Amino acid sequence: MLEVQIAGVNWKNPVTVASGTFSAREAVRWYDPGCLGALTAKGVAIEAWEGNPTPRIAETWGGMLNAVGLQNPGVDSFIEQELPFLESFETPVIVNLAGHSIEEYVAVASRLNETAVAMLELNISCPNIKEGGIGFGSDPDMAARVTEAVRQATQKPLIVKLTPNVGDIAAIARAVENAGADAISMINTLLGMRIDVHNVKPVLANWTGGLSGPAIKPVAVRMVWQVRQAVSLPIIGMGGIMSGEDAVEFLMAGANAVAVGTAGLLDPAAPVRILKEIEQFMELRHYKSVEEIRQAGRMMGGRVERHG
Amino acid sequence: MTKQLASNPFSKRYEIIGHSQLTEAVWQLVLAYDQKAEPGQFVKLYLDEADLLLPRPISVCRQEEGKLTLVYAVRGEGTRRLARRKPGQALRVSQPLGKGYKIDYLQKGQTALLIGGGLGIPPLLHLAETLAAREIGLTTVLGFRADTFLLEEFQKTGAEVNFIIEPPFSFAEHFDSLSSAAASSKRGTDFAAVLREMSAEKEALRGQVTDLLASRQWEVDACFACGPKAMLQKVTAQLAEMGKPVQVSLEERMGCGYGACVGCVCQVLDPTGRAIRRKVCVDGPVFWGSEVIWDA
Repeated sequence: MLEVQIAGVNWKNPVTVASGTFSAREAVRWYDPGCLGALTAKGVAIEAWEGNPTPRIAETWGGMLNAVGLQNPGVDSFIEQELPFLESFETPVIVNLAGHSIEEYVAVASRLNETAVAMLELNISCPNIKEGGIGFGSDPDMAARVTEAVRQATQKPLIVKLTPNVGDIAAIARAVENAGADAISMINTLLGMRIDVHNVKPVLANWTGGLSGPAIKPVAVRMVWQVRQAVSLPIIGMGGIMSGEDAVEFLMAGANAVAVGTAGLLDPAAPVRILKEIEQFMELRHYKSVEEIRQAGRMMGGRVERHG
Repeated sequence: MTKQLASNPFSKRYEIIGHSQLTEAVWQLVLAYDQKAEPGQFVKLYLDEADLLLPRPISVCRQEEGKLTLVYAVRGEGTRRLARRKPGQALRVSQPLGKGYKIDYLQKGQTALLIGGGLGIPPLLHLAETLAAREIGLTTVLGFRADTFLLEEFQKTGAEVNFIIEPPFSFAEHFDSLSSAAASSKRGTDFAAVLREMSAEKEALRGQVTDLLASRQWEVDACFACGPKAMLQKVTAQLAEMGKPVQVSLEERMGCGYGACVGCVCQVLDPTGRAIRRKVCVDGPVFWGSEVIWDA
């Protein structure tokens, strides 16, 4: 009743974890990651990235800011040291790709093409990277170009993760669909900032960071709904999901699956709890499948909104 | 279908059995707690309020059978709200987190030096009580901004307690208020006499903990420190000059506190001398002072 298929890959249920919020080595202390529909690893680049100086974390009302800066050990180290452990859980593994340039994205995608990883997620949206990252995701042409280049480098199912820091999210979605994406995940974090008024300086060493958590959910749900009107690709929806009902909102907005991020930072077992709550909701409201929930959402009606 | 949840949840609700103010800004929280925390470990406290989602990491101050004591300072909105919680109420607390001080290598009869600054002092009490139970001889060097706290508890471990208070509070002024506190205390301890015994020259005890540390040679087998980063850096250098390695407890703004978000990193030297990043929440918070890259 919970099975879904995303871009040809079977997930036993519609719940995965948001890239950058999950560590399998830590998660196993509290639950079996194999019970999730898929596991999404942190962004990986062609070479090791140091990430930003600290402080990298700040609290906000109903959320948090992060400016981790995609610290990662590089794809070779990832394949050698982390991938085997992730693959031991017998559930599809999604690897998130980071890069400063189209060439870097292509290089890391090619490298992962040689592995048995189930899906690749192209991260063109992280707002913490000064070079390239925010540029690609904010512009339909750049988004299309990087998607096209990576598309040619791999036969694996390719998910493109969208940034919400744009004026017209549907345009970006259409561009990546036309460029060959197999699925879309959304949203990444919203660009935010906090100032320490006592010491008169930004709280984050990087000045700005990505806002995540319940505070962003209304933006995320709206964007999923808008993108669903614009493309026929499967959508993995995320942004502030803290409960099963939050997840159902995304499914009714048109997502095919969901990802849990910040909630998992507060409680490592949140993804499993939320999965259980989705099941409980389905029993309560008599949905026999995820598709029935999506169908109910379609029946809401509504039209593509037009804003000036 | 979906379970496979381990039996140890990351956090649980525990009853507050005591909550008192130690100084103007410093509070002591006692919880009925069923897990074992090693010296140097911390727990995360959840306010469970929608506008403040992130739990607060606070070092364990004391651990007794079925009880956990935390001593913290009210600094921001989170700790302000925490200070308003009352005995009888429940508070959600994580399991003990982080790697604490390495102490198993110490033998009965050996000695340890505990150096603490400000809110770095509470976790050293757990360390002191643990080491005292293992018959390790203890000496403390503690630095306070203004009012002292926990001194009597350190004294009870049998440690030689040395402490210093930052100017402009003169020790003489402070001495009088401590004496009157001792006089009105029901514990029957002549605190004033204890203080007189502990301090040779009243007026000398103004300054920073690093001043007190520099004031003499310390013949000890192991050193442990906790406090602000600048203090730890200086203490590491001072002790290195005396040929003594020291374990330090680092702090960093945390997200998850259990190793997933990579928010709380510090830089250390790996065994080959290469600079690498480590997570303060799972790889630390305790590191050897000599491996920390202080200016990262």
